[in-house]
Amino acid sequence: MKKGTKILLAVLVLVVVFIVYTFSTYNSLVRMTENVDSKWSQVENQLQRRADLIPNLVNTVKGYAKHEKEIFETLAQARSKLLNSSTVEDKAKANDELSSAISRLLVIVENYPNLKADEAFVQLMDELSGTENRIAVSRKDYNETVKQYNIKIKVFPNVLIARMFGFEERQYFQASSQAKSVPSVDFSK
Amino acid sequence: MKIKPGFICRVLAAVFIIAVSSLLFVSFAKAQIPKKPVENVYIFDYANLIDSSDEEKMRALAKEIEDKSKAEIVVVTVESLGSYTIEEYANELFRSWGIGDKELNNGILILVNKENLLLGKRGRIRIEVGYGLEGAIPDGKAGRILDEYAIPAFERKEYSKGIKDTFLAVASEVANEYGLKIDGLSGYGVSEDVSENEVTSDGNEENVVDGTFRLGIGAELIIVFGLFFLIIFLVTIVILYNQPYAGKKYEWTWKNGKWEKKVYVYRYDDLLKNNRSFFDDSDDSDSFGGDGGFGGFGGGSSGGGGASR
Repeated sequence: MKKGTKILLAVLVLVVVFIVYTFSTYNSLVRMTENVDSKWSQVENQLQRRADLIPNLVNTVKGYAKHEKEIFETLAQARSKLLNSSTVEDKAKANDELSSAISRLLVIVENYPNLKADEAFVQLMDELSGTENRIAVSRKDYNETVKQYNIKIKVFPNVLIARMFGFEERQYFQASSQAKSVPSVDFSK
Repeated sequence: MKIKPGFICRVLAAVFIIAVSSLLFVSFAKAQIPKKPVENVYIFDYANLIDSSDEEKMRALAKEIEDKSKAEIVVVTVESLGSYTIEEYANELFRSWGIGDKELNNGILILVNKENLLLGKRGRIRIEVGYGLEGAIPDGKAGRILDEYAIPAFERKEYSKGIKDTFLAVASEVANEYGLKIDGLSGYGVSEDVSENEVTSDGNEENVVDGTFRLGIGAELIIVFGLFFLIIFLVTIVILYNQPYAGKKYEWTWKNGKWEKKVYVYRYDDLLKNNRSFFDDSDDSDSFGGDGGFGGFGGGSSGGGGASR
């Protein structure tokens, strides 16, 4: 083989390798983003489910503790904040605020033993803890998927492909530490 | 490069042993959740809480239900949860064992934690429901099952009965879901839902376990070791294959009036040719359907639904 042909062949092989690599990396990045999206919609499902349970909870508690107006207001606000937030970070923050509101409610419920024993309330609390557990599980799954994806678009040489096609880093589902509010129990009421 | 074959073999053996023992160490260090058993015998009483008659009864029922509906109801008792909460432990065990059919996700795990059970503390029992059965046993119903069947018996320290009755209640719901008629389940129903606005399964029953993205740290280490093995193995094979000889055979012959030492050398590829039969041991070691006719687990998954007490 002539030297010129050899070089041409080598270049051709390199080009082919590069093309194959680009194809496969791009495709796997596409698959991963779909996976991240699907895991995120799982998280959103569970957040929605939790938000849906709040009105029931409030009504059941109102049946026994009509005068605890402040906590009902807090719960309603936290719930609408969750439903109105759109980014991952906002949802995480709103979710944590709703959790604080619920734990405050539970502290108040301790004062109403009849309420604690009420069948509807017990069932709602089971549903609520079930939902919270589901949020925890789907959050874990989502964050794991995001981690895999973020690593993949950051390592060399994938980072070149990612930049080329506009793949961006995804956010983890967790609130930044300063957003967590400490539950305050008002004993004067 | 000429190296004595024996030397290579010894080095390889040493490396092998080191790699294998470190592998074992890794898996022991992480051994909190019991490893997935090969056979699904439904009742795994690691903490010795269940009487043998109750165990046999549950096992027979669980087998009947799986045979008729592919639903797997599994009971596991453990000494303690280590640093896990009962929800985390149950979900990890459920997923790593793969309880329930892969497509239908109809698995249920009843997990009992002996440590909290004896103390009467929260976190003693959990019913973890797979995606596919969340309609049949929503969280509220799971909680009611525990309140009606598990807690009263546990408070009387009748642990085996509590577990058995919980199992029967769960089995009864599963049988209802699939329209099965099974003996021994009458009288184990649960009161129907109390609140009108019960939030039931949103129909989102996709199998969310995507194998490629769920590797934990243990699995990654195993893969690293596996690759390490493979490379050592391949390199050794290549080196050995290219050795000038695998063995020497001496033969004295009489030639031209004196004894002459003749050296026969043979290479590894000659040995291979003569030992073809060694590699034909096709062993289909799918140990499904073991001694008692039990199969493996179906590979189902759970999203965290259920209730704990």
